[in-house]
Amino acid sequence: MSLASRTPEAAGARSVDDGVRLRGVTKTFPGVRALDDVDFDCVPGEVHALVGENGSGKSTLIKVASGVLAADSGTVHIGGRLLTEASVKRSRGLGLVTAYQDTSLVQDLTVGDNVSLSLNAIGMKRPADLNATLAGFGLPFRQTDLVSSLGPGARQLLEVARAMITKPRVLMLDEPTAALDLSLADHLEGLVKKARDEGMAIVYVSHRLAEIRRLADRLTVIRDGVVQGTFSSDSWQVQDIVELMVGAPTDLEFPTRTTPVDSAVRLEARELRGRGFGPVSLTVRAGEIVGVAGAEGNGQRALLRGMIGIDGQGGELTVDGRTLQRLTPVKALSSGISFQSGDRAAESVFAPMSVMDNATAQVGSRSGPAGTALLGRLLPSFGAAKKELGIVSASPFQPIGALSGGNQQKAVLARPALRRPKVLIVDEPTQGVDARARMDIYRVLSDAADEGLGVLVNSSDSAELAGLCDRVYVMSRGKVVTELPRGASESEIVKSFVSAADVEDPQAAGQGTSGFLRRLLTRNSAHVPIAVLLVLIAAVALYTNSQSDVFWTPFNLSNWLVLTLPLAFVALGQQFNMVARLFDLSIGSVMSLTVVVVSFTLPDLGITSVATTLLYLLGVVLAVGGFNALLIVVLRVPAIVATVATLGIVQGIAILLRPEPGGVIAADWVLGVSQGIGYVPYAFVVLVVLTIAMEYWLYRRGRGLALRAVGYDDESALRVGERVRLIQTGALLTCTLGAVIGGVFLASQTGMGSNAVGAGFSLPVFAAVFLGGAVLSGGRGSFIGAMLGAMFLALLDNVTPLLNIDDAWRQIIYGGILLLAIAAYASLARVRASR
Amino acid sequence: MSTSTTTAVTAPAQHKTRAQRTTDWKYRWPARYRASWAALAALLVVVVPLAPRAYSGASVELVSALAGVLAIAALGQTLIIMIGALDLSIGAIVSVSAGMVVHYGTDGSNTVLVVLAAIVVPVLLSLVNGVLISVLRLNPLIVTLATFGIITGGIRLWTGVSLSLTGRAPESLSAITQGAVGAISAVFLYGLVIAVLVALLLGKTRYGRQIASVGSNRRAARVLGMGVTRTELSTFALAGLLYGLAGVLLAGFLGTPDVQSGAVFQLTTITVAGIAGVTFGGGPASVASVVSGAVFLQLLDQALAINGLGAGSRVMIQGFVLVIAVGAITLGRFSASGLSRGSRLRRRAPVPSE
Repeated sequence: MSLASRTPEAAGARSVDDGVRLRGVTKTFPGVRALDDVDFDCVPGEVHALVGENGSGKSTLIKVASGVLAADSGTVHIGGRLLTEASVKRSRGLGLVTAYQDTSLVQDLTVGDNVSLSLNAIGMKRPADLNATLAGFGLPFRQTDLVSSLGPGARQLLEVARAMITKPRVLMLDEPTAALDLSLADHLEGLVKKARDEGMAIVYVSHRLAEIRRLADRLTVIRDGVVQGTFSSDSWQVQDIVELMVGAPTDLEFPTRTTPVDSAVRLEARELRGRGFGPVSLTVRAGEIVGVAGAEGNGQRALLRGMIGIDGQGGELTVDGRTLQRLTPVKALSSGISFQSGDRAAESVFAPMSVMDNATAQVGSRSGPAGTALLGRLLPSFGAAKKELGIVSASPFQPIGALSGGNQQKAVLARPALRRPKVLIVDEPTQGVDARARMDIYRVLSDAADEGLGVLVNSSDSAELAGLCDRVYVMSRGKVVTELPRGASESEIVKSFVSAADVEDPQAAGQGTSGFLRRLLTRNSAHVPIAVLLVLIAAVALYTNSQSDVFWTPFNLSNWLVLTLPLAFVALGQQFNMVARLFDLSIGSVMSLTVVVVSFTLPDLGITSVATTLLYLLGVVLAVGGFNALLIVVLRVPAIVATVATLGIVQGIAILLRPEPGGVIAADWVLGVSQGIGYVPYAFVVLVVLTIAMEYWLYRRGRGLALRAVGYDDESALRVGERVRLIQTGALLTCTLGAVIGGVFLASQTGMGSNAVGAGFSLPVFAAVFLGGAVLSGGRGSFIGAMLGAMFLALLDNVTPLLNIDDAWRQIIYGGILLLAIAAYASLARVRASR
Repeated sequence: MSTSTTTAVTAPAQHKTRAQRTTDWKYRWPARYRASWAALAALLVVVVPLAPRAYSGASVELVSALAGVLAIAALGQTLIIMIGALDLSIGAIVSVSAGMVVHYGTDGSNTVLVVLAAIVVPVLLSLVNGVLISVLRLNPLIVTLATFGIITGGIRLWTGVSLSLTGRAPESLSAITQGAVGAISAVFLYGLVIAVLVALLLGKTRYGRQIASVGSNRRAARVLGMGVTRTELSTFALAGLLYGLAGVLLAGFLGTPDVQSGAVFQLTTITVAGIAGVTFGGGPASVASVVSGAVFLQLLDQALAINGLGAGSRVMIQGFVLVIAVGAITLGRFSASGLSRGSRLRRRAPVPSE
């Protein structure tokens, strides 16, 4: 094998200065050196493959080059220019685009919107005929399709095509074929070759050596954050590369074990199916450690979760011969299955709780009689586990979040040790764990098997499986494709899934399933609330008109529209927040404060009074909105708590300024608001025009798209280069602005300063925005909907006296409507999510 | 597994060294739990020169009574926060309870029955919140904002603007709530007893540990086979019980509560939880710190009032206290966890050049 630092043959114009170059890049995470003094480059017109095992540092390298992560030291040059800050926007500006494995597409947006989002972020325009462009890439879907309706393969192709549309200098592809079947993978290879021939520099990360053999001009192997060597296309053999990926036989000592012979079957899965895996059949015998292997994302994790009843869809699971009916995690545990996840932060460790509480989380009745949890019982249990597993902690009461990954994991494995289940299922037992702790963990697992438990281990570390397991099931695309007997070496395991990746299993075309109704609902979801609200308004108006002859008079109608104004402006502002997945409870008190301020500064409509008022109100917007942004965007205080505090402060200031109602608000303003064409006030016309303009902006303009993208999925927005924090700050300021404008109109109704007039607005404002299609998960919502929501609520205000309904009903109705609205849209969202 | 019974027996809680005990204590009482005590101690001293009248007998009785009610209500709010939610309807529910006492506790009625009903109804109302939030998975803020509106409107329909026409709590209830031991109100002592019970529940039972676990990491709790929904629903019921007790005691002590007497709890209970170092978003909390936080807030309010500050300044200062508390905890969390969580994908620092 020859080390080749091959300069591309057709050099000349194609120098590394036109591609990407990393020099001496080091990046550490707590406890792990993800990249260690890495040099890497890719020149135009070549495909440079990057291979390595899971966790070898490939993804980190890509993230550093893309500006998602900042390196600790070292430099990144793109097109000969230094990447001076870790900013995606900057990196993309220099000409580097990345297509991620888990994609940076916003699922709830259409194909076209996703392409626009990516182009907007670097100031490019979307191609006039996007469908033709997509067809040029041979993609079998249209720009109006929702990304969530595409299959995983189609999504991956779109991710790659979207990156190619911008004709970047450098294209980084992270495991582009992981989710693709053979024909789609073929198609992708074609695209990559074409892009290379057009002169792109392509960095290609993959597990699949066969396809790298066909595609790559150069190949670099990385292991544990260190580059192991770079080879030209014709100079390498699969066996050699696998050995380099895996490294020299590790000096880790695995416990010596004897495989049990013909012991009883403890765990058996028959045709088990679930989201992302199956059907899978497997058995684990008493005293056996059975491994699950596969390239990342081939259903291993889903299978393990399916075994405790999470996202399962059918099949049968038996423990010691007893079939478990209607499996849930509670049932699984009580039936003797202990599951410990390797995703410690997300689903294993209770970070703020003590290491003792974590280790004894499953001891059950042994913590004390009659449901008690007595220190006198827990401390000795924990002490024993601590000694047995070698957990290092300053105190049993130390929060587990403060411990190293290895110690956390040992505390996690103390749970089954203290409970003694029948079956132990462990996902990634040693992820992010140092060598010393690994050996302890292997010993614990081995001891567990020796005691007669059935142990099932999923690991992305093949050395671990080779050293530890009696048998290994190899998974690919959600199914078990091979079973390796005891003694399979690490490279045999790696080879089995490296090559398994190239076999059969046709994937249903590009498109996922999608019913007509679902598509109709999702595509037009922003407009459904508008239609519903128009119907509601008409119904209430018609009914009231039949009951009261006062309703349909110009005076009353004008009154209704004037009543709409304050609520509508606040609702528009709040809708801005909702779309960006933010939340502001302080608006009511901001309205009160505005009324109070106006009662001081606007005794008449003279030019000085108006100017002073505007100046003061601008100050309110900047101070309150800025304060909220400081707390929420910068300090990351939960929006609800932050704005409850702001609510108190602003309310207090309002009371301070006007302890008692008083002051005068220009009579001209009070009268002026209701002036208009016929019974329609001018201000209402302005409101309607503004609302329509905002709606157009939100759904037709690039910045509006960015706002929705941030709300739907801020990580994706960040990856394509949007300035997420700036957008969030803007949303909070806009919301406060809306509340201030609403307050100015409210002032016209009160006629004098009063410190609590806005307090009642929080409830109807949220009712209005949720009626307008907002969801707390962000991204959705319509300004027209919010305005109609405000009109509807104001209409209820208007008609309750006409219908002789007690005023107290208003709040009940608001609350009821709010509950109905969120319940309705939540179930709509569930319909949308279910496939 | 290998932690056999023999090893379990040989590793008892042996004689701990003094240093070990100090370390344990430090972790059991982290800074965020101690802060409210420090604030209270400082305030107790500062009040002596600034508002000596706050220590007069009548003032101490008033402060301790209101602090007792606030502590009980804040414990309910704390339970809700511990499971990762937040309750904006608390003020309305406390008002319902107080209102029932004065509305039905008229002469000749069975006081025990009235009080019992005034506790059961809040439990049911809070359970409704729980079902909407935990079973239907609707957002807690919006749900409790909506139920706040519905319940408030309901009270007005039911009792009019004031809570009752005769407007007085039953004699027998007043008798046991308006008493005092020395200058300390009996209400405060009831509050202490309730707090001790809640502390025992949270600290010494498996159920209590589950509440903290579910709040710390709902997914982990689910994966580990804890009954998540069951835990959450019972926590809402328990919080409702505390709201009911707070309302009953409030009615008894004030004699003539109105709608407004309950409404203040929306901001004050959240502020107390903030001062007490309860993590918004869920997780373990200290009952003792909540009690000291309640006393702190009530005493602060009294001292400010004695110094002639109006309601506006007092509400504003409450808001600032909450900001300072959550701001300090957020910053503390950043520095404590250091790199591990603070610098996820989001941290952007310039790449040092060669």
